[in-house]
Amino acid sequence: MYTRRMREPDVTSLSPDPVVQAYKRDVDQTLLARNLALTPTERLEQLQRFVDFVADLRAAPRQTEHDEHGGQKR
Amino acid sequence: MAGRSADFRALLEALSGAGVDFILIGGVAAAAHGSARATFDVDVVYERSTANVERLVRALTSLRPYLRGAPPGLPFTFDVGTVTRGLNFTLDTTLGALDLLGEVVGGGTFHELAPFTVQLDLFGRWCRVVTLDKLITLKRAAGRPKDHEALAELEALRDVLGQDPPLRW
Repeated sequence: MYTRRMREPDVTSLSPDPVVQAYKRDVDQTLLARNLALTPTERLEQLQRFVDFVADLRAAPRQTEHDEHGGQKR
Repeated sequence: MAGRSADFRALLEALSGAGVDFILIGGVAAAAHGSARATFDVDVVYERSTANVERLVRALTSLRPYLRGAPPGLPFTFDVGTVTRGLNFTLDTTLGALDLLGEVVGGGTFHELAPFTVQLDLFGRWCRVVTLDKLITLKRAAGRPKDHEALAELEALRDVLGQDPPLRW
């Protein structure tokens, strides 16, 4: 029988990807160790803080632009 | 609504609170396992039974789900019929980006993926999360160049955890 699953690649049979292996050398293990010391919820809370920080950063240039062109800054 | 940063807790609580059967995958699942990489959306594989789709729609309707990146004004209604006729949806909601997958490359449907999950306590609720090994499998199956760094980190994470590499299909 020919099934969809048979058409998909069996990733278990793939040898290690050399590109991934190259990147792997640069993974910061200390960050992983620090994260593993947290609970799963704490890990997501940390991610949330970062995502919120990035959102704030993305909003900041628009505010500056508004200030410069809107003449409301000073 | 577009571009709003995802509220992970609220999105997961919306789904769990409504009793939706789903599996957390993607970057948030990776983070729950210990990844230090950022992600900005929530990816879940949802169960496709009518009862569960009804729960899913009930959970999300108030969040005004809309097709992410689509021009405003399209006649998109997030209801049971839409979800049933479709499969995978990349949505923006009032709580941020949410990808609903009826099937995922390398993992299949909810029921095919379910054996490769663990229950994790996320924000005080038990949440079904794809295992780290299966997450690696999914990333490899997706075959996207942008995933190389993420894959490297996940494999390093697995090494740190000292797991055998049971990359089961």
